[in-house]
Amino acid sequence: MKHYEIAEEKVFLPGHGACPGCAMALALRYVLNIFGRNSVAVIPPSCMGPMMGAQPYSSMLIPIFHNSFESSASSAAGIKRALRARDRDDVNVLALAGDGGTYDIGLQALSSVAEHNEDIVYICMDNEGYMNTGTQKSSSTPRHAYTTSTPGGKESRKKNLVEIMAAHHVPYVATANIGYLDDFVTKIHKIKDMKGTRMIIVLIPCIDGWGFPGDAAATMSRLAVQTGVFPLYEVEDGTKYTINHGPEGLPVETYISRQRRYRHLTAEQVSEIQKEVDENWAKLEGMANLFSATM
Amino acid sequence: MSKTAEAVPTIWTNKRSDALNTGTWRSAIPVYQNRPSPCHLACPVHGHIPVWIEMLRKGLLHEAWQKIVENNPFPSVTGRVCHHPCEDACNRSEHDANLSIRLMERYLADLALEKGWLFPETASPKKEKVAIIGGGPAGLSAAYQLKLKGYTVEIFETKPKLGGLLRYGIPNYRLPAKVLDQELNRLAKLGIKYHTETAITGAAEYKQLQNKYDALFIATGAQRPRKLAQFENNPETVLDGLDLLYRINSGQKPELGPKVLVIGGGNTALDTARCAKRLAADVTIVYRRTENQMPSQETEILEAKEEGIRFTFLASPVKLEKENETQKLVCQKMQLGEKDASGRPRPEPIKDAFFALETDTVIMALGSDIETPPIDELETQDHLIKVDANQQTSVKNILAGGDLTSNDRFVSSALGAGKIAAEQIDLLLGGTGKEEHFTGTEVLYEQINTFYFPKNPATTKSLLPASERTRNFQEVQLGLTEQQALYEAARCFNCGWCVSCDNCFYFCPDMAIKINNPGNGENYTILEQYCKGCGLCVKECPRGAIVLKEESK
Ligand SMILES: Cc1cc2nc3c(=O)[nH]c(=O)nc-3n(C[C@H](O)[C@H](O)[C@H](O)COP(=O)(O)OP(=O)(O)OC[C@H]3O[C@@H](n4cnc5c(N)ncnc54)[C@H](O)[C@@H]3O)c2cc1C
Ligand SMILES: Cc1ncc(C[n+]2csc(CCOP(=O)(O)OP(=O)(O)O)c2C)c(N)n1
Ligand code: SF4
Ligand code: SF4
Ligand code: SF4
Ligand SMILES: [Mg+2]
Repeated sequence: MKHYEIAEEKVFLPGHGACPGCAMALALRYVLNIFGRNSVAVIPPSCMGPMMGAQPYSSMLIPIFHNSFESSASSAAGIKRALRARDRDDVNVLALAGDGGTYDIGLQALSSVAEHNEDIVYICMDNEGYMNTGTQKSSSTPRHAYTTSTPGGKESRKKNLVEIMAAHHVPYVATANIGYLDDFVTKIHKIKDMKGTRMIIVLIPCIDGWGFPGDAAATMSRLAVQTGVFPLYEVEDGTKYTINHGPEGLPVETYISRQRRYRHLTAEQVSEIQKEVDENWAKLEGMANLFSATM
Repeated sequence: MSKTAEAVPTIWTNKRSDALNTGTWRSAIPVYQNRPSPCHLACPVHGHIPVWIEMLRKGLLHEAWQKIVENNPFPSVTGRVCHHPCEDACNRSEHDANLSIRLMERYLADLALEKGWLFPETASPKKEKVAIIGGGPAGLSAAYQLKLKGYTVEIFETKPKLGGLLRYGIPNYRLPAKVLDQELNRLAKLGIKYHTETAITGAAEYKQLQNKYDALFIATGAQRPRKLAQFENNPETVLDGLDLLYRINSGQKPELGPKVLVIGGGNTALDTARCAKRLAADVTIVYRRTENQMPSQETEILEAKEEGIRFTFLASPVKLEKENETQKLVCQKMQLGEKDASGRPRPEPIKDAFFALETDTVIMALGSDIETPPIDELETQDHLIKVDANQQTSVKNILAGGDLTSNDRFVSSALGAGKIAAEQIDLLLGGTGKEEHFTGTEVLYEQINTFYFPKNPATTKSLLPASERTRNFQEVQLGLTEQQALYEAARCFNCGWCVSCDNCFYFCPDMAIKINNPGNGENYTILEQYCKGCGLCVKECPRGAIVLKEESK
């Protein structure tokens, strides 16, 4: 087992308000501790709020700007420009947003920032729904998943944000999760040393919103990868693909059957999901073959 | 309040969350435990297997060997002939293939012989004296443990040399005499007093020992061969297996006819057959049950077949017949019936179904029984000396173990019985007795986080080619190379044994696990102020070394 490099200085503190066993808190631990004290973050409304803690307490030993829901990317870019104007280009500026704030309401700002290749790091904590407000669907919610606003299961598929970002030819976009901590930590270190618009989409299995046992966030993260639902990969400059961890031949059933949000599924719906996953994987593999980073 | 604090607007966040007590959310808390692994529980000497395997993996070879000899003074012996119930219990068998624990043990033990590593110093001498009757593995194991604790120990042994069946039963091609000698020499350095060629047989002798010593451990084995009356008067043709092995292991080369039949299916049958084959004979084993009911180890049957030994199953010897110059063993055909006390189907003769096998020598290997020591009030049960779980007999301060008290006729079982007896004698004589090293329940395969253990096949075991075996008594099973031993060690889950991988620390979303300075006792501390009791650390411990305990507040 590998030993993960975390900066000595602990930027993320205990006493925060995340649910017990929350993957987002664990992911944040690595993001903040690796980026270190010389950072500023913008945080839109999301589970990141309780993660920070109740006023006047903060779990993050860096300045935080609470921006409006739709403006994470542009707020971060603005702060970065202001810092540069004041000769503080060395400060890392992070946007720490949910999927609702990214896939849906913040997408326009994000697209613009990506187009300009603004020098920011965008971490999308993707728990596949509006979880802080009680599990409503987002465009990241996968097909057939139950949310309070899709009581019969969501009808459309999950939006592919990696491809959207890759289409902007940003220097770096990747998927990650806490089931593969070494991979995640490597990616954070990697983007810390880069410039321009960098993004990591972190799959955050949500204990309450998805419905699974409180000790299983890492297990669920891994099953997402091992079943091919959420492969871990990187796209650099929009064209260079690297697959880090892909499916291991497990049927999606093993992932789905462990989550309450899929409890209502018919066998037919399960095979529909399987088909979608297989197609996505075939497409990704094809892209990776065409545009391998090692070529 | 200081001036600067007043200057900060109240809407600013100016306090650290680590002042808060999120531990109050919790209803359960993780607890670190050294839980027993299945291999440890199955091992008759209760070796600390995951512990020494970790040391081996880290290259701490001497330390690993020292860990082994805490429970077993003869790892070069068991590393060769143990029936390895530990391997059968190994959790890794559900994953890909079980570990070769025995061969790793042999690797370290043979290295110890090569390097001349010695047992630890004995404790300061105690005044109590213990007599041990029988110098086989059971007696020697008890002597070793008692001597380490500082007791005066004396062994009484009939034969000229120590070792019991290790010396006079198991042949050289499985356990070279040189290996046994080296391990016994190391034991001799501890200062145990040996009285060889001193049989304790009479009631008066036992009485004397009882008066002179504070405790007795009797481990005289099961030396009396079982016989079939109709073959008693034929000493030219019919030989006893154990006696033949005794002669071969003492360096003799007994004359055997070209056609040898061995009757039986246990250790003695297999070993006499393989010895006979090495003395250039045509050998067939005649057994009244079928192959999968043979009590001997599977690998031995396989190796015997490779060496050209034939088997006739479901046959029971009836009588010897002479026709002209050829001698024949008449056998009756058998069939399997209802299960007997051993749980195996009982072989039943088929009426009027007889056949004959040509033979020059017939070797009886039907097992052996105990001699009951002539001690008043010493109780027996099922033709064995009756003992409790601590090897205590019905007579005060007399303990017994090994083949004398059990039908588990195995070297490691004898060593384990000796160890338990020593712990119990220590307790009887005012010592601390048994030490507990583990807590909690057995680690199940389901409690291993297999994500951390990529599948890897077992090391291939090497044997001397069959063609090179049958003309000599050279060792058949070969040991592991250093590389192979390390490879095997890396496969171990270390079930229930914390190896300080820090994984629990890395997976806590609440930073509630503190890594302690090495050598400060516990490796990790749970910070109760922050732990929310999620159990992620428990789940992500690769080896089940943490459990979640409910808390009532
Ligand atoms: C041929 C053969 C092969 C075997 N192979 C294996 C194997 O591969 N693996 C395995 O695990 N087990 C094997 N076994 C079984 C194993 O050897 C025994 O279970 C084990 O040796 C029992 O140990 P013990 O100390 O109880 O008795 P023993 O080894 O029989 O030792 C008893 C000792 O007591 C001495 N003694 C007896 N009576 C007296 C007396 N009155 N006074 C003084 N001394 C006395 C004897 O001389 C002997 O030295 C084998 C057995 C045989 C016969
Ligand atoms: C403009 C606006 N609309 C709605 C809200 C209410 N709101 C607060 S958090 C949240 C959910 C955010 O979902 P997501 O971005 O996925 O983050 P999560 O809570 O899942 O971490 C919503 C809808 C808001 N704060 N601002
Ligand atoms: S994996 Fe290691 S500790 Fe676990 S049962 Fe097997 S040998 Fe023992
Ligand atoms: S992971 Fe942390 S918070 Fe969760 S039970 Fe373990 S120590 Fe407690
Ligand atoms: S995760 Fe590693 S360090 Fe923590 S208890 Fe398990 S073995 Fe020990
Ligand atoms: Mg969300």
